[in-house]
Amino acid sequence: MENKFVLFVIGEDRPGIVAGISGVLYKNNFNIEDSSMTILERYFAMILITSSKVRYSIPLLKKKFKEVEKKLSLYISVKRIAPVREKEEMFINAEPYIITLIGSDRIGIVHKITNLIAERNINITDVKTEIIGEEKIPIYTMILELEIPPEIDIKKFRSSLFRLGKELNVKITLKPIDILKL
Amino acid sequence: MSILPVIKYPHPLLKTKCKPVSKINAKISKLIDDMIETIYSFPGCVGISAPKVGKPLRIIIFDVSKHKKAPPSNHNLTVMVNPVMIEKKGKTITREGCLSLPDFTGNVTRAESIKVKGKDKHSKRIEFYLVGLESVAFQHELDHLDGILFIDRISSLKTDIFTRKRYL
Ligand SMILES: [Zn+2]
Repeated sequence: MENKFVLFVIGEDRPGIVAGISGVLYKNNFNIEDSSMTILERYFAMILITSSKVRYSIPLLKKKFKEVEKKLSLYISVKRIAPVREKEEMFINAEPYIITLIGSDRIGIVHKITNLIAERNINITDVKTEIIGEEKIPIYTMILELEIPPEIDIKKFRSSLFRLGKELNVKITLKPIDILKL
Repeated sequence: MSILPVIKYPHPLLKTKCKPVSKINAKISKLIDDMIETIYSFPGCVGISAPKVGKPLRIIIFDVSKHKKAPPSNHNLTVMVNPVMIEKKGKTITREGCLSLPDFTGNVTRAESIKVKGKDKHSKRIEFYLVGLESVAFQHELDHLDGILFIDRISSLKTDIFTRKRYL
């Protein structure tokens, strides 16, 4: 049986983090099944899905990362992934949508919109935020990608978003993502 | 007719330059019919090429007529043997998904309007203009004949590739 782990790596960005982490995985015969990384200001964050034929205990795994963790001043966390696929199946009939929000920056925008989404049991698959415009008049933009299950009434959802947009004085639009299937 | 199995990445045929069809014989006609049946077996699928069903030959089929953003000028079901793109104009970005890469979708920039030529399934020469989604479908399938996948056309991993927006 395969053992799957999720690995979180956070730290101040510097050369050698990816090489350091992948080196430990390589030396211990781990496969990297999926990975994502990002840098915000000076901070680096990475999430990796790895698998191994050997059934390591979590403490033993943590020990293997000790050296690189210390050397590169990282915070590394490892969790075992239970072989449950139910959640994935939950969203199999969901349709991808995109929400764009443009307006002046205000405390609570992110919370209010994501809360409205979560209340309806809609999964957020991607979020991007950016401040654009001039320094004196910053404009806040947010792009959210969602997977909307079929039981959600899109019309009602769109009008809830519209009301929230009015309340926050921002422009919110909801559009289906048209995927050309080839 | 029969539904053919679709090969998935990293199958080597997806990286192969396909050979032109020299003659549309009974075997090729059967392959074309099976490809048509295969394309319609995937709900919402608008294009297929011979390498995707394991045959390294220059045959593509597309039908965007059922898509809600289909250009009114579309040509419904179109079979093209030895297709060539002879003119291209403009740019359009489309979120593409591929039967052979079921875990990804990506934003791909392609020509908005094109002029193409080739042969139909009766060996008759055909030549026409394609625009919008039909143009994109043609270019995606033509790429398959040259061993190019849509991920090869993506310019930025950060903003152009999306994982697990599966449609299968
Ligand atoms: Zn494809």
